[in-house]
Amino acid sequence: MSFDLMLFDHFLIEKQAVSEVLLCNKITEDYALVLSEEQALELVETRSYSLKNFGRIEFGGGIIEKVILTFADTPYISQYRYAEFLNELVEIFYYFKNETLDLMSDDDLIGYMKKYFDGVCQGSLDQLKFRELERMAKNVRLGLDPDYNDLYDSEKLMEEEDDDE
Amino acid sequence: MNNNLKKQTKIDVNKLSGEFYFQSLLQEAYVKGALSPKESERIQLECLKLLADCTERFTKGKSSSVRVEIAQGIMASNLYTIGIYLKSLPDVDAALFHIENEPIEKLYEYGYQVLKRKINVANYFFNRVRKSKLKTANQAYNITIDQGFKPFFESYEINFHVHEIPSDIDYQLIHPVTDLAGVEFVIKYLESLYYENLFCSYFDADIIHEVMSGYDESYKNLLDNIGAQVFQNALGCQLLNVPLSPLDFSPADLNGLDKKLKSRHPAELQRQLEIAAWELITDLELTNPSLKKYLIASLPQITTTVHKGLASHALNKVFVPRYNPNIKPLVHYNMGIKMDDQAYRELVVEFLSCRFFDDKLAIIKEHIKTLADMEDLLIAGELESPEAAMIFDLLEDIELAVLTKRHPLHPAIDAIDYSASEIRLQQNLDAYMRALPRDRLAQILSMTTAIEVV
Repeated sequence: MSFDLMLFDHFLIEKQAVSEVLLCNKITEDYALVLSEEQALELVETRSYSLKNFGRIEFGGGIIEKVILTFADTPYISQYRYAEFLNELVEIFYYFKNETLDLMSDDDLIGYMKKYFDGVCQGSLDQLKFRELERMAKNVRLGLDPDYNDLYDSEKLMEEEDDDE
Repeated sequence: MNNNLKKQTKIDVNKLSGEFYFQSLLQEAYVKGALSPKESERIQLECLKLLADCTERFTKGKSSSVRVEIAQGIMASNLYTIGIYLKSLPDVDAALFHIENEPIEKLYEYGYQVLKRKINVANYFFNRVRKSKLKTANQAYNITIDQGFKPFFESYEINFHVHEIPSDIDYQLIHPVTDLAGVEFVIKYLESLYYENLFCSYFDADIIHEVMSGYDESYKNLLDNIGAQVFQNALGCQLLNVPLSPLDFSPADLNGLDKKLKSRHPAELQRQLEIAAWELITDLELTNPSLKKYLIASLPQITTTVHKGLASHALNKVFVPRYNPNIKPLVHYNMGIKMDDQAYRELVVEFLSCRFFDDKLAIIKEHIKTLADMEDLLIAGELESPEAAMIFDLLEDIELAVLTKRHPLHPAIDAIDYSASEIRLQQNLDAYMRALPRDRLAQILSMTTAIEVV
């Protein structure tokens, strides 16, 4: 019997996680978003894969429920490709958890993801991942405000200069 | 009637790890069938739950996931805490009973309480060590006691990193502490160090300083143990039936010891040392039973050292004669005046361009008039070992003694402080000295202690 963390029976962890994910359907039903048991299992597997890929470990349903519930009211998703969308979000979440050096709490990170996704990215996962969250992670690593954007600042500066003229 | 019936247990206690006690106990119990697969699954699940709870406390509830290294650290810490409680139980069966009948979380809580008590024990031994601290120049000893344990007592983290040892321990003990971690390691180390201090306190600190200077004049920079050398010298005195307190040996004493111990078989030698050790304990009126046990346990190691010393005719490295480094040298040797720099440069160029060694010898005989120039040429001459040996043959004993004093071979310590040419000279000189007859070598070495180069 080994106590190496990676050798813990993942089946036990996943079984528990799937049932927690399925419980979220009760709330997301109101937004016409539902996951089947198979999709829930796939989502949990994606989580396991991402955790392994990014060298992390999580207990229980973890952030999947938070991601599902936070993104339930976004105008940019529908039942069609809902599961695929969640899979990508979960992967993005763990990637940026590492990129922000664990300096940001789960709620804050998901909150920023939602804010950018619904805001400047207008539903584009690529823009969210490769532009907004990259910038945010860099800001966090440098000890700046996560929202700080030197591009906007320089634009603002230019606008002010134009106004002065 | 002495009733010494022992309860039979399936688990082999010797196979259990001191550092990973809980894990090894579970493994052993599982293999021997003392723990069912169902039980073991329950324990794994409960450990996982405990890890989840601890991780939540670690992240203050702000993050549901952590990096694997962090989780592994927390898990190791939890298992260590549980192990420390199980070790506090009377035997393995009791430990197994608790594992089977108590939730893992409860075992962790009990372990946590034991841990707090252990820190007090560590504190107690640390105070004893500080009070009994030996007055010595050895830096590793002083720094370990004065500063080495500060990080432990200031920042030992008993929630998530309990299995780690945040301390800078450099000083080596007679019995190195192995197979322990965290606070248990610190307690064992401090306890052992206290016994060594206690033993050394029976002797004068200045005498110990001289003994260690006899062992190595630069002992203050070494990581060698002081107590072991003092004990060895005391044993030697005891074997000679001379007073213990001077801890000193004359050449006649060493000859006497050599004769006494020479033809002994290692087992016989150990028995003799054991008898001497018990006599020593009686003479010094040592009353602390743990100290007695500690000293006696070091005898196999000392027997090996003595046996090696006898075999290599180096008993003076085992039973070390005292040496006072503060005594002024008897001979002042003047290296002489160096030749003009320009002339020296030309000489070296000519020397290096010589095809035959005879030409090099001719240059030396014609131009080198002082030992200072000879030393420079030996360093700069890029000489092979046989060539250097032929040049050393030209020198007198006192000149060899001066060179030995100025260029001792300490490859492990000084290798980075010297240039490659200097190291080559040290090696050549060392090889040459080793090839000398023993009497002449002893004479040269004794000169090195009495010379001061000016």
